[in-house]
Amino acid sequence: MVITGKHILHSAFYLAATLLCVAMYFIMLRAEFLAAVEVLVYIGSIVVLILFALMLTRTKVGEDTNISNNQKVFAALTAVILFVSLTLVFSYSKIDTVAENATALKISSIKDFSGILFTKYTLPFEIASILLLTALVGSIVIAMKEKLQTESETVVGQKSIDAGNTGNQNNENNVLANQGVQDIAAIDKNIGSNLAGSSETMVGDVLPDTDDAKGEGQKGEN
Amino acid sequence: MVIDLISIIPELIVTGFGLLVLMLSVFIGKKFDRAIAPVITAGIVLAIGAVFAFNFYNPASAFNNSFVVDNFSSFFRIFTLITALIIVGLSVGYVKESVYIKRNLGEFYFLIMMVTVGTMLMSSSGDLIMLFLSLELVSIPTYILAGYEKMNERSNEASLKYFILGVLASAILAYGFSLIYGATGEINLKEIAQIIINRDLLSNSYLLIVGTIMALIGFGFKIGAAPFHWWAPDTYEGSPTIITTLITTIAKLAAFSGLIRFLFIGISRFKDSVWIILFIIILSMLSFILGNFMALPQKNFKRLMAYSSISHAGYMLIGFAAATMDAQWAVFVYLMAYIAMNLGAFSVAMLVERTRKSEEIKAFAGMGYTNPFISICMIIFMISMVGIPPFAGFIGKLFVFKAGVEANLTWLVIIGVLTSVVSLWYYVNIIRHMYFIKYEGDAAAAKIKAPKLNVFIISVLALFNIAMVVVPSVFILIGKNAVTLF
Repeated sequence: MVITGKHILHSAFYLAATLLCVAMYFIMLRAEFLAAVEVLVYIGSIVVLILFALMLTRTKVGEDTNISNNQKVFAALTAVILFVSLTLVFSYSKIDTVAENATALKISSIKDFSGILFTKYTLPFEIASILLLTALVGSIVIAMKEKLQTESETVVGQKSIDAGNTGNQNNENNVLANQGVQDIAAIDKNIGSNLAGSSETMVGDVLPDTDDAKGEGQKGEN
Repeated sequence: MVIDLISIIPELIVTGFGLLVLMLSVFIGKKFDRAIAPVITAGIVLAIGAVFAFNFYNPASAFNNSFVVDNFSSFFRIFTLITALIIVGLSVGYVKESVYIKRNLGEFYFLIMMVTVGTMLMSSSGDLIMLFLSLELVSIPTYILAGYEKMNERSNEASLKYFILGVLASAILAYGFSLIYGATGEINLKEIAQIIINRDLLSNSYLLIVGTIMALIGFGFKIGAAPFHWWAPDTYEGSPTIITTLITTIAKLAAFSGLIRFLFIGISRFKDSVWIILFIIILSMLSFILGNFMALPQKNFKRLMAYSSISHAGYMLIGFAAATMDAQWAVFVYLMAYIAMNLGAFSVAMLVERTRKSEEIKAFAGMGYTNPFISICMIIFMISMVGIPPFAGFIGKLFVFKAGVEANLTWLVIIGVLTSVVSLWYYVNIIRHMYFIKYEGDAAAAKIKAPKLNVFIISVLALFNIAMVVVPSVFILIGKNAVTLF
């Protein structure tokens, strides 16, 4: 339903429902903490973030029939093949080993969980944080892009640029060219405090919202 | 705890310098731009020093065995750092002329440093979580860097394709890892290997085999092996050339070092499973057949190199299919040759692109007479790519093929040799353009501008290509030492 729905808002809510079911599975597997995290992070923030992105970026939220899809049959076929083969594999192999391990680890409470996270798995934890920082910087770079165009036109010998696009926004950007550098600094400083808010207002105020959506989308991914 | 910290000092240095550059470029602003590359260079050199000082003679297993320092990881870290150094060197001139990259220079170098750290972590990761995380740490910056030319539609396309397919690959990889965990109950690679041997899982657990194959699909995406190569041509063509170089060298290094870790340490007996071997053989065969034949009609140099790198991935996979001790160091030697010749070819192409504003093969026309030295180096790189003696590519191919023959894969090797004969055509085509076709364009651009730094890098790489044939024993020794700890 998430991917076949033509209305992107509906898709978002279907996604929430799917994630809720996944959380249920975690509860059935006795991983309550994971279930809680699933609900909090995925449904609580990511889906809501998608909705926010929709609200802030799109002028018209509605049925988007633009998405052409001529690979439906192929995709369905692949999915069915994958499903059948995985079911066969699962039914032929001994799954009980998984259950053994889950009980052997005894990660029942949040206390145990955090204990393991900060002793046994410190390095992966730190790397994950670096990874998030990288993604953050990257999404800001992508979101920042559009506003500093004028600079590019003064430089001779640039590579292929979409001429029409630059032409349209030429006037707006002339004003902004000088502020550009300061804005980067300002946005980067604000990362810590309020990422979504700051970049949203700065970029969103002046610009047509196309590229902003991309940046926001990527934040959602992260 | 102390030994834990000592073992990751090189990574800490590289990360630290990356963050430093990011912060300084924010607070100092445009004035800092000129100093970024030297600072980054200092960081990388310091990290190389740290590897020699702290890690080389101190094999260790830190952070609860999730981080392994052995010969393999030390060699690979130095190898990665040197590659990164060369890329930073090449980027100095390139970014000056690229209006987009120049604007966010601090972030640009920060992301390059993160790719480097990811590759270093990959080569020393000891469990599945680290493998996955470091692969992501390599991938996510490259997605962003591929789309760094903001208004260039091709760059956007490159980034988007790379991102969507890359995320799909990561998902498949993660699922494969979770199946392996389900089958063995361990995430540590060495313990996985032990459990597989003890319980004979490779012959009776389909869960493990399917998990391994799914992980191989994930890695296959990252190394660009057919039939998972569809992102490669468009991404290579669309990205800024410096980033294409990054993707084709460091990102590939990461994927291959991860694959070596995963297969030779984790699933160390993967030769026992017909399915896994068959899968690798199919991957390898498709890669070099498709890669070489699809490269024939290409007119764009970067697209051509994309297909060429697909075929090289195929040749390296022969080594994995052979799965012997010799094959392991053969793959390592091949990787060294591959990186050297790819860096060389791209650094020449970058100069051509900067002067003539074109990435077509046509743009190489006539440079044999205007820039004799660079052209001769380019001939070396191209011949090396084909794998004809007396250059590095020959040594790489020779040992991989030898390992293949010893593992009774002679038929695969024969197909490999035949397809590399096919590859002669398109590599020599570039040489033909350089010498036998007159340049019909702007007369001012006839002579290719070659800054001293670039010429220096190109000549060092050309020398390396020759050195690998003159004293192959040194490189074989390095390769052998790098894998002895397995």
